[in-house]
Amino acid sequence: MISHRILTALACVLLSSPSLRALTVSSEATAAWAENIGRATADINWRDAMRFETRTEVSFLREWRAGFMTVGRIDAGIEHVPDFSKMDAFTGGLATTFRQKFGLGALAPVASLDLGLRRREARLAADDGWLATAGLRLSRRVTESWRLSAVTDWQQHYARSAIFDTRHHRVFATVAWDLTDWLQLAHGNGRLWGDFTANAGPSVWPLALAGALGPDVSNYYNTTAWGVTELLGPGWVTYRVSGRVSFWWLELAPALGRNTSLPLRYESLFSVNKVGIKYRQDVWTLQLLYRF
Amino acid sequence: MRRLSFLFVLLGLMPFSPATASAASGSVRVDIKDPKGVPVSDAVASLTPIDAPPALTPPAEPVVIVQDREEYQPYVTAVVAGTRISFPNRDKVQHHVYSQSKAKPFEIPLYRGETPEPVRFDQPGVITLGCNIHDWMSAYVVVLATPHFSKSQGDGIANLTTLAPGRYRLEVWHPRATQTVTREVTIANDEASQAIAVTLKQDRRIRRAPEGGAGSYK
Repeated sequence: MISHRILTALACVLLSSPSLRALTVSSEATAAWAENIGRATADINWRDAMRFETRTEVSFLREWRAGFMTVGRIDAGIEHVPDFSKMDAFTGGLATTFRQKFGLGALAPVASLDLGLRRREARLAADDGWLATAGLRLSRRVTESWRLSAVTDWQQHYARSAIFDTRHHRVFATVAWDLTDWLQLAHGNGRLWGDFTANAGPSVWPLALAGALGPDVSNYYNTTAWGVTELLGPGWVTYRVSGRVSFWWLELAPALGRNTSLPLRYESLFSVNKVGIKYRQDVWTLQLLYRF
Repeated sequence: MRRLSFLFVLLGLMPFSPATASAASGSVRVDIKDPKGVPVSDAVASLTPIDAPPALTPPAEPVVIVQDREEYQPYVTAVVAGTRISFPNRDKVQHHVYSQSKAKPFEIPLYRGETPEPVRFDQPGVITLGCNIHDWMSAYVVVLATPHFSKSQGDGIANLTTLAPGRYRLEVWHPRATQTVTREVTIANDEASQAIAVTLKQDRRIRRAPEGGAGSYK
């Protein structure tokens, strides 16, 4: 409740300033088909589901001196997983980008630093909390139709329960190619290190704890945070692990207009926790992006 | 009364006397199409006298290129050398107008609402405009050393009128043309037409449509 009041007060302060009338509003709607949405390791526990998301962002851009600008943002969005509604969540908060462009023109390199603080209110109370994010991006257009970016970012979820109290960082690179003036092909590839959550069915988890998957797994799982959350069904367990994730995506993004695009993305994620347990996920995403 | 009538008739005919007509009475209709026969808009056709340098009289008032809905309007502007151009910003967001073209490098950083001082374009050439905040914004200013020019509309037609008879160099430029088309034409006291074919490159403007980004790890 207090967090909502803080966010509302900050939003009012920002929006009431006369110098901040030049606002840009953008919205996105996403439908994703996630294979193994719960990040389970055993094939028998894989659950595939549709995930719908919508997000709206109000941003204010200001250039303070030649090449240096800041972007202030307020955003809010909801996630809805019809088959597993305990995964539903609201996320909203503030973010700032500090952006330095080194020179004039579209081909000049750009460095930007993103900082964000958002509140997450999930249907599963244990997943409630604050999300703090930071990211550094270096990007450059090589030509008018090719752009390269290198990104490193960090995320900490200060969750109500230790199970969802995760921290990780990523390093990834992207390349975007404008095939025509309305069609873009983009590829991203990177790694993640840190904590993430995974899920196990009621028939698997006791075996893992008892040592059926080996002593290393048993010892590790008996020390990590876990609980019966029933995110994916009765008796299902969510547990937190450390590890690394390799991920890549390929995206085809037609522009439907000057301010509208419809990216279709395939993303592959391969996660391995610190005792070698593997989790594979494939996600197909169709997004509608609109800038008002 | 008959003398008076004769005088009126004489006065009426004076602007069209042979001596005056030879000073400026020819016109050229330039029909600009691509190799497939599709009319090409935003092409600039200009005629430069070959035998005598033309008198250049830039307009007293500045030409206007506005920034509206995060685009420059118009996309192509042709002016005679010495013309001043103003860049009013009708958007709520700031813009940062710049040119890195040799003919006129300049910057007007960070403004919104007010119209900064017009910029004078003295040197003939093609100037590419950009916005250092919104990379997709672009426009062209074609500065010409001749007062005889016209920009083609949607039908691909550029009309050049009030031309004194003589030899001219006809040039047709377009932002996407592989090269400027040049030919010599002779203007007489009549209407002439020139059919010009320009080969256009693919439109390679910076994409404006929004992009999704990497998303977060869920």
